[in-house]
Amino acid sequence: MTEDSDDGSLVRRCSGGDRRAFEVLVARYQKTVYNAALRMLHDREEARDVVQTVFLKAYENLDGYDPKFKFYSWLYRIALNESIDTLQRRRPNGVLDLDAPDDGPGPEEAVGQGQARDALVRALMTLSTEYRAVVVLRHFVDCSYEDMAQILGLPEKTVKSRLFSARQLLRSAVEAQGPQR
Amino acid sequence: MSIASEHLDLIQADLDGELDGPARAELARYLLAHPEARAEREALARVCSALDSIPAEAPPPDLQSRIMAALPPLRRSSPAPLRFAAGLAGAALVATLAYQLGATRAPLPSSHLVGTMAQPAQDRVTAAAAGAVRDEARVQVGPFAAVIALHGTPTSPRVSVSVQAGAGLEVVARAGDQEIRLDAPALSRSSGGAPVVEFQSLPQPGTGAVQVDIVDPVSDAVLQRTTLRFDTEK
Repeated sequence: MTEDSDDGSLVRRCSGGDRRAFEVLVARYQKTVYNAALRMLHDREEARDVVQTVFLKAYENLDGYDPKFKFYSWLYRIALNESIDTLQRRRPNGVLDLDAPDDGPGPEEAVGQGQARDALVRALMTLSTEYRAVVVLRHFVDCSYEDMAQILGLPEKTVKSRLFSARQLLRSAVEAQGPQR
Repeated sequence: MSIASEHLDLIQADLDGELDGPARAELARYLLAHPEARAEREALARVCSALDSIPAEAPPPDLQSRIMAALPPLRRSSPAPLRFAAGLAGAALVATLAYQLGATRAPLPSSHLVGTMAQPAQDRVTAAAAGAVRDEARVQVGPFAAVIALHGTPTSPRVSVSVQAGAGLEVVARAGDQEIRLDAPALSRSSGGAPVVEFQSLPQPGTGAVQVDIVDPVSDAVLQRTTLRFDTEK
């Protein structure tokens, strides 16, 4: 087995009891899953917990994975569900406290343009979860329309419509900061 | 002058790298002739650029070791019957409740979507709350089984879906202008008895009948079709 083995063969090895194969999958996808959860939740500690739960659930339910679907689609679907569950547990009334301190400055603040990016990240958190999910999948997970439709279980047309609406809502936040450098 | 939605679609698809050559050429011609569309494209491009400029963060360095340490003991492949069920689970069955025979399947307004991954089901109700059953049918496709029941009156119809088996499968139920996603996490949150969801405030069925399709979301093939009627005596 090599690090560049395809997902399908790694999953088959996992199902046969090969933990090392699963470790390769974790290494391959943990960063993307973490960033998806981070942008859904705006909380690094919760994002870390979500990633752990996602991979644990994936491992425990590998028999439920159909190889005719992309493994990462299945993984990202679990990640979105877990993130949404976390949001609901945290904010039963759906109101986000955007003044809540994060775990400290992250790379986005450290590389400059921090103010504009922070405004955009906060604007992202004001979106409904269904709008935020499409933005996260497109811009932080780099999914195609087809992947997004499969992950969200929606027609592509709906995905595109939500993405357009979400971007329009974010537009004012971007325009308030002026042209991007 | 407003920009036609088809051109807004093209603009967005172009920015997302989803346009093929001919469509891109068509868009280029349109943008050349419509300055307001060019301005719209630039504004959308700024939003996309700003989002893409947010760098990915590295996960905590100990995350992978924590994940691996939390895994249960080594597992083995499931016996044959379970593998069959798993195969169908991944197929992500879609239960489409197409209201009225011959109803079109136009895209649903997002405001009416409930129970999707982005907005987990909140309309789950108990069977008792669904009221008297006017007609019902049991549907089964592989390991998935559900009882779909018609309640209410022809002027105020309601439909409930009670998942009897295969609750780990992913199911989307669609009725009239509503859609409920019954993904595995959503079902597992149900407490006591079979997970049940109900569609309410549906439009009146012109034919007095509700058509229920079990559809393979990949091939869009109808795996099973059932029709519930108000004139059926129970």
